[in-house]
Amino acid sequence: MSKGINLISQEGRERLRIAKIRLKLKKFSYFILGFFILFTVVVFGFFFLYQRELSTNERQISLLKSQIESFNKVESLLVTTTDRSEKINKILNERISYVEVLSACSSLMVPGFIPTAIEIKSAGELKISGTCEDLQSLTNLNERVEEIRLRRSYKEIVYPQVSRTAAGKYLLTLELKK
Amino acid sequence: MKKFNFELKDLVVPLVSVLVVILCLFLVLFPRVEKVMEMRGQIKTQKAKITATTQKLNDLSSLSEADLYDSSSLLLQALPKDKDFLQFLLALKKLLQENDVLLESYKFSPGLISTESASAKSGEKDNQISITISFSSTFTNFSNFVTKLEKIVPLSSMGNIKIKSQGSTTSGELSLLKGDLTVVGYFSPLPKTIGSYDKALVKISSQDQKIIEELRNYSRFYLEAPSFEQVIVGKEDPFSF
Repeated sequence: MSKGINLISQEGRERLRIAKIRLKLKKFSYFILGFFILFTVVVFGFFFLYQRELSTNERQISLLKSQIESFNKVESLLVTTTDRSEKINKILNERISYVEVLSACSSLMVPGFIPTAIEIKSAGELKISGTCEDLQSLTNLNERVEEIRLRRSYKEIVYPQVSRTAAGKYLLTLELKK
Repeated sequence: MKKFNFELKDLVVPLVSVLVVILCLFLVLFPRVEKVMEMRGQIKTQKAKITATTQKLNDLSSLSEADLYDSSSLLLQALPKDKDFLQFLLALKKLLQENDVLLESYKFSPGLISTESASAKSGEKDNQISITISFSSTFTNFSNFVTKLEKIVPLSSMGNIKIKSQGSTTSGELSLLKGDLTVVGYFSPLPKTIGSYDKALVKISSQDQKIIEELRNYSRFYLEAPSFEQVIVGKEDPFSF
């Protein structure tokens, strides 16, 4: 069994340990400083880079803004066009056409039928009162009513009243409901 | 004591440098890092703004001012920005004349006329002007009038129609009718502001194009501006007669 002999004195060993610790601390502080410097360089590098980019972009935006402002008139015309168009579209969609009602009304104007009152409601409903001179004109009128019925543009077609006078004329009221 | 002093001296430099580093990190670098992150966000926003603005500029450059002026004028005639009773009444009167419909009387309440807002009077329907006219005509002429009224600018629509026969002919279409008709005209104030420079540009849709094309086929009734005789005030040469 071999036994190691340490020839370095106790005080010398202590100095060596301290020297090692001092070296380690020195290395550690250098490392921290180095890391700090590197980190600082990177952060400030990015900071200046971004600052430059920000001011470049700001200049570009302000240039674009002034260019867009030179088109103010075109833009206002465009906004007017789209705004009017949208509102006109709404009006046209909500507007009820009377052409169809008048066409139905016109088709009822058979020879011998004299309208006395016509009422067209804003919903497109038609109420017509009149006199048929004879049975032939009443038959003709009824044929036209049948044609309108077949077109199915009205939900209800009603004769609320038909009467015959002593002179052989027919008084009637006809309603076309949507 | 000597040994202790030696150890403390060894620790001072590294400890102070670590402390300074930590202090600098918290007081200088971390706020700067935050600032850098913030700047990064700002750059991202700026880039998005540049893209949108460039796109808007390209779109605006591609538009024809003459075409837009033409379309917007037509649309403004169809739907005026002001409550223009006179224009509406004259258009109506002209159309009645063209179709041989005799205008017997008319009634309307202009309400609040304001050049700034043209806002509606309380109780009055928003952005509408209404005229009740009494007329006499044959059925055919009246029918033509109504058909054409739906195809004119300024735009209008009709309310209830009440007609009574005045004549006695064997043809219903030729008999003289007398009646009342409510015609509604429209107006709408213009948008107050145009979009912000970085806001996307509104586009003319195919629906808008369709409406513009449709309105081009409508009859237009213009209010003829009254001509004024030029009155010469004063003399250039005060000694001439």
